[in-house]
Amino acid sequence: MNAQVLYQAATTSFTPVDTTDNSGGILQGQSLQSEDSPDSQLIEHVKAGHANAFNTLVNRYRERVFSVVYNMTSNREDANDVTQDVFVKAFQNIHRFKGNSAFFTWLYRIAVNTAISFIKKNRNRQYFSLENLQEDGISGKIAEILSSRKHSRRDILLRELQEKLNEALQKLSVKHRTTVVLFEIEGLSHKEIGQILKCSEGTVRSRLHYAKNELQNYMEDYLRQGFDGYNE
Amino acid sequence: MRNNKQPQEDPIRLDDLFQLKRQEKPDQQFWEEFDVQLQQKMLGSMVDRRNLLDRFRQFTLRKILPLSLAGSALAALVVSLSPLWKPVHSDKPNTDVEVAALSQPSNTEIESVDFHEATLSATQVNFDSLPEFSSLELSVDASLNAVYETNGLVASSDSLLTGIAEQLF
Repeated sequence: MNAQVLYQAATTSFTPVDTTDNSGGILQGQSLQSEDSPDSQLIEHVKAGHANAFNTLVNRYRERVFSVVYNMTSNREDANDVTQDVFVKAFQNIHRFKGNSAFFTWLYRIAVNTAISFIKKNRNRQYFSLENLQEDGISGKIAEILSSRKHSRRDILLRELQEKLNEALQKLSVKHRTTVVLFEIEGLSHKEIGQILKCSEGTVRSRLHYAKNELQNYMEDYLRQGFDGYNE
Repeated sequence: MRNNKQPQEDPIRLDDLFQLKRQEKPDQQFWEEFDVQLQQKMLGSMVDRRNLLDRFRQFTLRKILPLSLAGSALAALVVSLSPLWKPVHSDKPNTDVEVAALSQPSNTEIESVDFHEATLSATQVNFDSLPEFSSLELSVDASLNAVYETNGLVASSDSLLTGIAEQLF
Protein backbone atom coordinates (compact mmCIF):
# COMPACT_ATOMS: atom_id res chain seq x y z
CA MET A 1 0.00 0.00 0.00
CA ASN A 2 1.59 3.27 -1.00
CA ALA A 3 1.63 6.46 0.96
CA GLN A 4 -1.10 8.16 -1.01
CA VAL A 5 -3.54 5.33 -0.51
CA LEU A 6 -2.69 5.25 3.18
CA TYR A 7 -3.37 8.94 3.36
CA GLN A 8 -6.74 8.55 1.70
CA ALA A 9 -7.62 5.69 4.00
CA ALA A 10 -6.62 7.67 7.04
CA THR A 11 -8.37 10.88 6.17
CA THR A 12 -11.64 10.36 4.43
CA SER A 13 -12.82 13.86 5.23
CA PHE A 14 -9.86 15.56 3.62
CA THR A 15 -9.63 16.91 0.14
CA PRO A 16 -9.33 14.14 -2.44
CA VAL A 17 -5.78 13.37 -3.41
CA ASP A 18 -4.46 13.35 -6.90
CA THR A 19 -2.41 10.18 -6.90
CA THR A 20 -0.99 10.76 -10.34
CA ASP A 21 0.69 14.00 -9.38
CA ASN A 22 3.93 13.58 -7.49
CA SER A 23 5.10 17.11 -7.85
CA GLY A 24 3.07 18.53 -5.00
CA GLY A 25 3.96 19.11 -1.43
CA ILE A 26 2.94 17.37 1.72
CA LEU A 27 -0.76 17.08 1.21
CA GLN A 28 -1.76 17.54 -2.37
CA GLY A 29 -5.20 18.37 -3.55
CA GLN A 30 -7.16 21.07 -5.25
CA SER A 31 -6.02 24.28 -3.71
CA LEU A 32 -8.72 26.33 -2.01
CA GLN A 33 -6.40 29.19 -1.24
CA SER A 34 -3.53 31.07 -2.77
CA GLU A 35 0.02 31.31 -1.52
CA ASP A 36 -0.76 34.84 -0.40
CA SER A 37 -3.67 33.88 1.82
CA PRO A 38 -3.26 35.11 5.37
CA ASP A 39 -2.35 32.59 8.02
CA SER A 40 -5.72 32.85 9.71
CA GLN A 41 -7.54 31.88 6.52
CA LEU A 42 -5.24 28.93 5.90
CA ILE A 43 -5.67 27.77 9.47
CA GLU A 44 -9.44 27.88 9.14
CA HIS A 45 -9.15 25.77 6.00
CA VAL A 46 -6.98 23.23 7.79
CA LYS A 47 -9.41 23.12 10.70
CA ALA A 48 -12.24 22.57 8.25
CA GLY A 49 -10.44 19.47 6.98
CA HIS A 50 -8.61 20.84 3.96
CA ALA A 51 -5.21 19.50 4.85
CA ASN A 52 -3.60 20.85 1.70
CA ALA A 53 -3.85 24.32 3.19
CA PHE A 54 -1.31 23.20 5.74
CA ASN A 55 1.12 22.67 2.90
CA THR A 56 1.12 26.39 2.25
CA LEU A 57 1.85 27.05 5.90
CA VAL A 58 4.72 24.57 5.81
CA ASN A 59 6.23 26.23 2.76
CA ARG A 60 5.85 29.60 4.38
CA TYR A 61 7.54 28.77 7.68
CA ARG A 62 9.74 25.75 7.17
CA GLU A 63 12.95 27.73 6.66
CA ARG A 64 12.43 29.86 9.74
CA VAL A 65 11.50 26.90 11.89
CA PHE A 66 14.46 24.93 10.58
CA SER A 67 16.75 27.87 11.25
CA VAL A 68 15.66 28.11 14.89
CA VAL A 69 16.07 24.41 15.48
CA TYR A 70 19.33 24.18 13.55
CA ASN A 71 20.90 27.05 15.44
CA MET A 72 19.83 25.51 18.73
CA THR A 73 21.17 22.05 17.91
CA SER A 74 24.04 22.88 15.51
CA ASN A 75 23.25 19.68 13.68
CA ARG A 76 21.50 19.70 10.33
CA GLU A 77 20.23 16.10 10.49
CA ASP A 78 18.79 16.59 13.96
CA ALA A 79 17.31 19.89 12.88
CA ASN A 80 15.74 18.18 9.89
CA ASP A 81 14.04 15.57 12.08
CA VAL A 82 12.97 18.02 14.75
CA THR A 83 11.58 20.48 12.20
CA GLN A 84 9.46 17.72 10.70
CA ASP A 85 8.25 16.77 14.16
CA VAL A 86 7.34 20.40 14.77
CA PHE A 87 5.09 20.51 11.71
CA VAL A 88 3.52 17.15 12.52
CA LYS A 89 2.74 18.40 16.02
CA ALA A 90 1.41 21.67 14.67
CA PHE A 91 -0.87 19.82 12.26
CA GLN A 92 -2.14 17.46 14.92
CA ASN A 93 -2.82 20.29 17.36
CA ILE A 94 -3.97 23.03 15.06
CA HIS A 95 -7.48 22.84 16.51
CA ARG A 96 -5.94 24.13 19.74
CA PHE A 97 -4.69 27.28 18.06
CA LYS A 98 -7.22 29.91 19.08
CA GLY A 99 -5.64 32.87 17.31
CA ASN A 100 -4.72 34.69 20.51
CA SER A 101 -1.21 35.14 19.13
CA ALA A 102 0.30 35.15 15.68
CA PHE A 103 0.53 31.73 14.07
CA PHE A 104 4.29 31.96 13.75
CA THR A 105 4.57 32.73 17.49
CA TRP A 106 2.59 29.57 18.22
CA LEU A 107 4.68 27.61 15.72
CA TYR A 108 7.94 28.99 17.12
CA ARG A 109 6.83 27.98 20.58
CA ILE A 110 6.30 24.42 19.40
CA ALA A 111 9.68 24.54 17.65
CA VAL A 112 11.54 25.84 20.68
CA ASN A 113 9.87 23.38 23.05
CA THR A 114 10.48 20.45 20.73
CA ALA A 115 14.10 21.46 20.24
CA ILE A 116 14.66 21.88 23.97
CA SER A 117 13.14 18.44 24.63
CA PHE A 118 15.38 16.97 21.96
CA ILE A 119 18.49 18.65 23.36
CA LYS A 120 17.73 17.47 26.89
CA LYS A 121 17.05 13.95 25.70
CA ASN A 122 20.31 13.83 23.74
CA ARG A 123 22.43 15.77 26.16
CA ASN A 124 25.32 13.35 25.91
CA ARG A 125 25.21 12.95 22.16
CA GLN A 126 26.52 16.18 20.74
CA TYR A 127 28.29 16.65 17.48
CA PHE A 128 28.19 19.28 14.83
CA SER A 129 26.84 18.82 11.37
CA LEU A 130 26.86 22.24 9.86
CA GLU A 131 25.02 23.70 6.92
CA ASN A 132 26.82 25.17 3.96
CA LEU A 133 27.44 28.87 4.12
CA GLN A 134 26.00 30.95 1.35
CA GLU A 135 28.97 33.20 0.71
CA ASP A 136 27.12 35.66 -1.46
CA GLY A 137 25.09 36.68 1.58
CA ILE A 138 28.15 37.50 3.67
CA SER A 139 28.91 41.16 4.02
CA GLY A 140 30.72 43.52 6.37
CA LYS A 141 34.02 42.85 7.99
CA ILE A 142 34.09 39.14 7.29
CA ALA A 143 33.47 39.74 3.59
CA GLU A 144 36.38 42.18 3.55
CA ILE A 145 38.69 39.68 5.15
CA LEU A 146 37.54 36.91 2.86
CA SER A 147 38.11 38.99 -0.22
CA SER A 148 41.77 39.34 0.70
CA ARG A 149 42.26 35.60 1.02
CA LYS A 150 43.01 32.99 -1.53
CA HIS A 151 40.06 30.81 -2.36
CA SER A 152 41.34 27.69 -0.57
CA ARG A 153 42.20 29.59 2.60
CA ARG A 154 38.90 31.41 2.49
CA ASP A 155 36.97 28.17 2.72
CA ILE A 156 39.08 26.95 5.63
CA LEU A 157 38.68 30.23 7.44
CA LEU A 158 34.94 30.29 6.96
CA ARG A 159 34.57 26.72 8.11
CA GLU A 160 36.64 27.39 11.17
CA LEU A 161 34.69 30.52 12.03
CA GLN A 162 31.47 28.59 11.62
CA GLU A 163 32.63 25.81 13.89
CA LYS A 164 33.93 28.17 16.55
CA LEU A 165 30.70 30.12 16.65
CA ASN A 166 28.60 26.97 16.88
CA GLU A 167 30.89 25.63 19.57
CA ALA A 168 30.50 28.84 21.53
CA LEU A 169 26.72 28.74 21.12
CA GLN A 170 26.62 25.19 22.42
CA LYS A 171 28.46 26.26 25.57
CA LEU A 172 25.55 28.51 26.49
CA SER A 173 22.68 27.15 28.52
CA VAL A 174 19.63 26.18 26.50
CA LYS A 175 17.58 29.18 27.58
CA HIS A 176 20.39 31.64 26.80
CA ARG A 177 21.11 29.96 23.50
CA THR A 178 17.46 30.07 22.54
CA THR A 179 17.22 33.76 23.37
CA VAL A 180 20.32 34.62 21.34
CA VAL A 181 19.15 32.56 18.39
CA LEU A 182 15.70 34.12 18.35
CA PHE A 183 16.99 37.67 18.72
CA GLU A 184 20.30 37.80 16.87
CA ILE A 185 19.71 35.27 14.13
CA GLU A 186 15.95 35.14 13.68
CA GLY A 187 15.53 38.84 14.28
CA LEU A 188 12.53 38.60 16.61
CA SER A 189 11.68 41.41 18.99
CA HIS A 190 12.02 41.17 22.76
CA LYS A 191 8.25 41.08 23.03
CA GLU A 192 7.90 38.20 20.58
CA ILE A 193 10.64 36.25 22.31
CA GLY A 194 8.93 36.86 25.63
CA GLN A 195 5.71 35.44 24.20
CA ILE A 196 7.46 32.40 22.79
CA LEU A 197 9.50 31.66 25.89
CA LYS A 198 6.72 32.78 28.23
CA CYS A 199 8.86 35.24 30.12
CA SER A 200 9.01 39.01 30.49
CA GLU A 201 10.83 41.36 28.12
CA GLY A 202 13.14 42.24 30.98
CA THR A 203 14.11 38.62 31.34
CA VAL A 204 14.75 38.42 27.61
CA ARG A 205 17.03 41.48 27.75
CA SER A 206 18.84 40.13 30.75
CA ARG A 207 19.42 36.75 29.13
CA LEU A 208 20.60 38.40 25.93
CA HIS A 209 23.07 40.59 27.77
CA TYR A 210 24.48 37.66 29.69
CA ALA A 211 24.60 35.35 26.66
CA LYS A 212 26.39 37.87 24.46
CA ASN A 213 28.97 38.51 27.15
CA GLU A 214 29.57 34.81 27.43
CA LEU A 215 29.88 34.41 23.68
CA GLN A 216 32.27 37.34 23.54
CA ASN A 217 34.44 35.69 26.17
CA TYR A 218 34.39 32.34 24.43
CA MET A 219 35.28 33.85 21.07
CA GLU A 220 37.68 36.57 22.15
CA ASP A 221 40.86 34.54 22.15
CA TYR A 222 40.07 32.90 18.86
CA LEU A 223 39.18 36.12 17.12
CA ARG A 224 42.34 37.79 18.34
CA GLN A 225 44.75 35.05 17.40
CA GLY A 226 42.86 33.19 14.72
CA PHE A 227 42.53 36.04 12.29
CA ASP A 228 46.07 37.22 12.92
CA GLY A 229 47.18 33.74 12.06
CA TYR A 230 45.44 33.99 8.72
CA ASN A 231 46.90 37.36 7.84
CA GLU A 232 48.92 37.19 4.72
CA MET B 1 54.74 33.30 23.23
CA ARG B 2 51.32 32.71 21.75
CA ASN B 3 51.15 35.50 19.23
CA ASN B 4 53.47 38.39 18.66
CA LYS B 5 51.53 39.94 15.86
CA GLN B 6 49.48 43.04 16.47
CA PRO B 7 45.74 42.54 16.53
CA GLN B 8 43.83 43.75 13.54
CA GLU B 9 42.78 47.38 13.71
CA ASP B 10 39.15 46.54 13.16
CA PRO B 11 38.58 43.11 14.64
CA ILE B 12 35.60 40.99 13.84
CA ARG B 13 32.72 41.63 16.18
CA LEU B 14 30.12 39.25 17.48
CA ASP B 15 27.51 40.83 15.21
CA ASP B 16 29.63 39.90 12.19
CA LEU B 17 29.57 36.30 13.36
CA PHE B 18 25.80 36.37 13.80
CA GLN B 19 25.55 37.71 10.29
CA LEU B 20 27.68 34.78 9.17
CA LYS B 21 25.44 32.41 11.06
CA ARG B 22 22.38 33.72 9.23
CA GLN B 23 23.97 32.53 5.99
CA GLU B 24 23.95 28.89 7.04
CA LYS B 25 21.07 27.74 4.89
CA PRO B 26 20.12 24.44 3.32
CA ASP B 27 19.98 24.15 -0.43
CA GLN B 28 16.95 23.34 -2.58
CA GLN B 29 17.68 19.63 -2.66
CA PHE B 30 17.48 19.55 1.10
CA TRP B 31 13.96 20.99 1.00
CA GLU B 32 12.84 18.52 -1.61
CA GLU B 33 13.93 15.66 0.63
CA PHE B 34 12.44 17.45 3.59
CA ASP B 35 9.03 17.61 1.91
CA VAL B 36 9.08 13.92 1.07
CA GLN B 37 10.10 12.94 4.60
CA LEU B 38 7.56 15.27 6.17
CA GLN B 39 4.84 13.83 3.98
CA GLN B 40 5.73 10.33 5.13
CA LYS B 41 5.81 11.40 8.76
CA MET B 42 2.43 13.09 8.55
CA LEU B 43 0.89 10.12 6.82
CA GLY B 44 2.44 7.83 9.39
CA SER B 45 1.14 9.92 12.26
CA MET B 46 -2.36 9.92 10.78
CA VAL B 47 -2.31 6.18 10.26
CA ASP B 48 -0.89 5.65 13.74
CA ARG B 49 -3.61 7.81 15.20
CA ARG B 50 -6.25 5.85 13.33
CA ASN B 51 -4.70 2.57 14.45
CA LEU B 52 -4.64 3.82 18.01
CA LEU B 53 -8.34 4.66 17.83
CA ASP B 54 -9.09 1.27 16.29
CA ARG B 55 -7.07 -0.52 18.94
CA PHE B 56 -8.85 1.40 21.66
CA ARG B 57 -12.22 0.54 20.14
CA GLN B 58 -11.31 -3.11 19.82
CA PHE B 59 -9.93 -3.20 23.33
CA THR B 60 -13.14 -1.65 24.61
CA LEU B 61 -15.30 -4.13 22.75
CA ARG B 62 -13.26 -7.19 23.59
CA LYS B 63 -12.15 -6.55 27.14
CA ILE B 64 -13.91 -3.73 28.89
CA LEU B 65 -17.43 -4.33 27.59
CA PRO B 66 -17.64 -8.02 28.60
CA LEU B 67 -16.04 -7.22 31.93
CA SER B 68 -18.44 -4.40 32.64
CA LEU B 69 -21.39 -6.54 31.57
CA ALA B 70 -20.27 -9.37 33.83
CA GLY B 71 -19.71 -6.90 36.65
CA SER B 72 -23.16 -5.43 36.17
CA ALA B 73 -24.75 -8.87 36.15
CA LEU B 74 -22.87 -9.82 39.30
CA ALA B 75 -23.88 -6.61 41.00
CA ALA B 76 -27.52 -7.22 40.03
CA LEU B 77 -27.31 -10.75 41.39
CA VAL B 78 -25.81 -9.54 44.65
CA VAL B 79 -28.50 -6.92 45.05
CA SER B 80 -31.29 -9.37 44.30
CA LEU B 81 -29.95 -12.02 46.71
CA SER B 82 -28.91 -9.73 49.52
CA PRO B 83 -32.24 -9.98 51.50
CA LEU B 84 -31.82 -13.77 51.70
CA TRP B 85 -28.47 -13.55 53.39
CA LYS B 86 -29.61 -11.92 56.62
CA PRO B 87 -31.66 -14.62 58.37
CA VAL B 88 -30.17 -17.76 59.89
CA HIS B 89 -32.63 -20.63 59.65
CA SER B 90 -33.09 -23.19 62.37
CA ASP B 91 -34.46 -26.69 62.11
CA LYS B 92 -37.20 -26.13 64.63
CA PRO B 93 -39.58 -23.38 63.67
CA ASN B 94 -40.51 -21.39 66.67
CA THR B 95 -43.47 -19.14 66.34
CA ASP B 96 -43.63 -18.18 69.92
CA VAL B 97 -42.25 -14.90 70.97
CA GLU B 98 -39.71 -15.52 73.62
CA VAL B 99 -38.49 -12.98 76.00
CA ALA B 100 -35.26 -13.52 77.77
CA ALA B 101 -33.71 -11.27 80.25
CA LEU B 102 -30.02 -11.53 79.83
CA SER B 103 -27.98 -9.87 82.41
CA GLN B 104 -24.48 -11.10 82.92
CA PRO B 105 -21.99 -10.08 85.56
CA SER B 106 -19.38 -7.75 84.21
CA ASN B 107 -16.60 -10.22 84.77
CA THR B 108 -18.27 -12.96 82.74
CA GLU B 109 -17.10 -13.50 79.23
CA ILE B 110 -19.93 -13.90 76.77
CA GLU B 111 -19.07 -15.86 73.69
CA SER B 112 -22.42 -16.30 72.04
CA VAL B 113 -26.08 -15.78 72.63
CA ASP B 114 -28.58 -18.07 70.99
CA PHE B 115 -31.94 -16.44 71.02
CA HIS B 116 -33.69 -19.70 70.21
CA GLU B 117 -32.60 -21.32 73.41
CA ALA B 118 -33.93 -18.56 75.54
CA THR B 119 -36.67 -19.71 77.79
CA LEU B 120 -38.54 -16.49 78.10
CA SER B 121 -41.06 -15.15 75.67
CA ALA B 122 -38.78 -12.41 74.48
CA THR B 123 -35.06 -11.83 74.41
CA GLN B 124 -33.79 -8.67 75.94
CA VAL B 125 -30.19 -7.72 75.93
CA ASN B 126 -29.12 -5.27 78.54
CA PHE B 127 -26.12 -3.63 76.99
CA ASP B 128 -25.24 -1.67 80.07
CA SER B 129 -24.57 -4.82 81.98
CA LEU B 130 -22.50 -6.46 79.28
CA PRO B 131 -18.76 -6.59 79.85
CA GLU B 132 -16.17 -5.71 77.26
CA PHE B 133 -15.91 -8.59 74.89
CA SER B 134 -14.08 -9.37 71.74
CA SER B 135 -16.90 -10.94 69.77
CA LEU B 136 -20.55 -11.62 70.12
CA GLU B 137 -22.63 -13.88 67.94
CA LEU B 138 -26.28 -13.11 67.74
CA SER B 139 -28.84 -14.91 65.67
CA VAL B 140 -32.50 -14.30 65.24
CA ASP B 141 -34.73 -16.80 63.51
CA ALA B 142 -36.42 -15.52 60.43
CA SER B 143 -39.53 -17.26 61.46
CA LEU B 144 -39.61 -14.89 64.39
CA ASN B 145 -40.93 -12.27 62.18
CA ALA B 146 -43.13 -11.16 64.95
CA VAL B 147 -42.88 -7.97 66.73
CA TYR B 148 -40.52 -7.77 69.65
CA GLU B 149 -41.40 -5.49 72.41
CA THR B 150 -38.56 -4.40 74.59
CA ASN B 151 -38.60 -1.50 76.95
CA GLY B 152 -41.58 -0.05 75.23
CA LEU B 153 -39.93 -0.11 71.82
CA VAL B 154 -41.50 -2.09 69.07
CA ALA B 155 -38.99 -3.59 66.66
CA SER B 156 -38.82 -6.29 64.09
CA SER B 157 -36.05 -8.87 64.08
CA ASP B 158 -34.14 -6.90 61.43
CA SER B 159 -34.17 -3.66 63.30
CA LEU B 160 -33.28 -5.46 66.48
CA LEU B 161 -30.16 -6.86 64.85
CA THR B 162 -29.29 -3.48 63.43
CA GLY B 163 -29.66 -1.89 66.81
CA ILE B 164 -27.45 -4.48 68.41
CA ALA B 165 -24.81 -4.04 65.76
CA GLU B 166 -24.83 -0.27 66.19
CA GLN B 167 -24.42 -0.63 69.91
CA LEU B 168 -21.54 -3.00 69.49
CA PHE B 169 -19.61 -1.18 66.85
